[in-house]
Amino acid sequence: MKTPNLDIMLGVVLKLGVTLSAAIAIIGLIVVLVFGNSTIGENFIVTSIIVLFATPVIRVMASVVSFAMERNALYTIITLIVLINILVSILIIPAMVLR
Amino acid sequence: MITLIYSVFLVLTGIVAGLVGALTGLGGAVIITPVLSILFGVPLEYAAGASLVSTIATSSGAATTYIRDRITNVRIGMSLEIATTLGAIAGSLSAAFVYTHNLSYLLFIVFGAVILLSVYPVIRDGGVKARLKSDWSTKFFELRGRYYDKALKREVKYSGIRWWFGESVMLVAGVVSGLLGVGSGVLKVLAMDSGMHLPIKVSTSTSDFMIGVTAVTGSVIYWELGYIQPLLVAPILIGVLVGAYVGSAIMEKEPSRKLKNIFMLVLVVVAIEMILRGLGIA
Repeated sequence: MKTPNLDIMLGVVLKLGVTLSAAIAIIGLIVVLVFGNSTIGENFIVTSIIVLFATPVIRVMASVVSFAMERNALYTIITLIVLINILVSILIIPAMVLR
Repeated sequence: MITLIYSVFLVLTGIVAGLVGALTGLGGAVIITPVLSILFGVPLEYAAGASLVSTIATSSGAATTYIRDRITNVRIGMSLEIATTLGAIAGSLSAAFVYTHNLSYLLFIVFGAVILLSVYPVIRDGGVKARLKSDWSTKFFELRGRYYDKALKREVKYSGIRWWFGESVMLVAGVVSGLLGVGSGVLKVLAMDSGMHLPIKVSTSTSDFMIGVTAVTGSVIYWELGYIQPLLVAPILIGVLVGAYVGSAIMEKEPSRKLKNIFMLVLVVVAIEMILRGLGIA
């Protein structure tokens, strides 16, 4: 069985990630709307979106580790396939689409 | 140029979407995309991009709840994510084709149809299922688990069946997610609940976990295509998180049937509006 502490820690990390993302988005929006600087503001928002994108990826990566620690070979492989699918969409597909 | 008032309206749209999501279990996209595209006149691809990003926020934001309650079955979710992520890649590439060929009216029609299909499972009730005879996939994919049911005040043991059927529906769910920029939570719940015979609470909670992984797969392709507009996404994202937080705080218990039915009626109207828009009538 999985150690519950790892699970709870992961939940906290994901929630922190989402909160951090929202906080950066708020700063970015304020910079654009109140200070009128779209370039800096948009950079903040882009950062917040990247932080948000990272949360489910971290979730899947942590699951790979977790299944490997359980010595569950089938689910380690299954989760690796999911991770590969995500990485393909991040790294390979955009290069193909933008050609 | 984006104005303060426009942003405030976007935040409010996000709050409503987050609230409705928390109350009905439907993702925010069924609210966000129609409101942005029909009321605000935002091109469908940007509306879908904003919805997709907010889906990730909803999923990861709910993580502490679903991990603490131990209802989510990560194994089952992960085994089904193989299909949803592949589907999401196919779906978002199809969306890219549709938008670059000025065919977005097709997506209005599909979107309307998907909303109509989403309404039915929410109205339907789900109780504890009788356990069916296991099949080969139950054993091979370890489709078993247990959780503590607060309403029943006892532990419920369950096992799932028909993994391949579930996996096939998940492929469709992934395509729909990438194509329309939604989480496809309704299809996912149907696949697990009706298809794989898993308890409704396990299905819902596992779906909440899955939609984030599915959505991020499609999102990066939307991102590369420029369909994720920072100034549109930021206010929606903030609103959705506030709405989801408030929604889950005020709704300790299940929302009343009447409230759900009112929401569903609104969604039917939204769906018809989307279809009419797609047909060029509205």
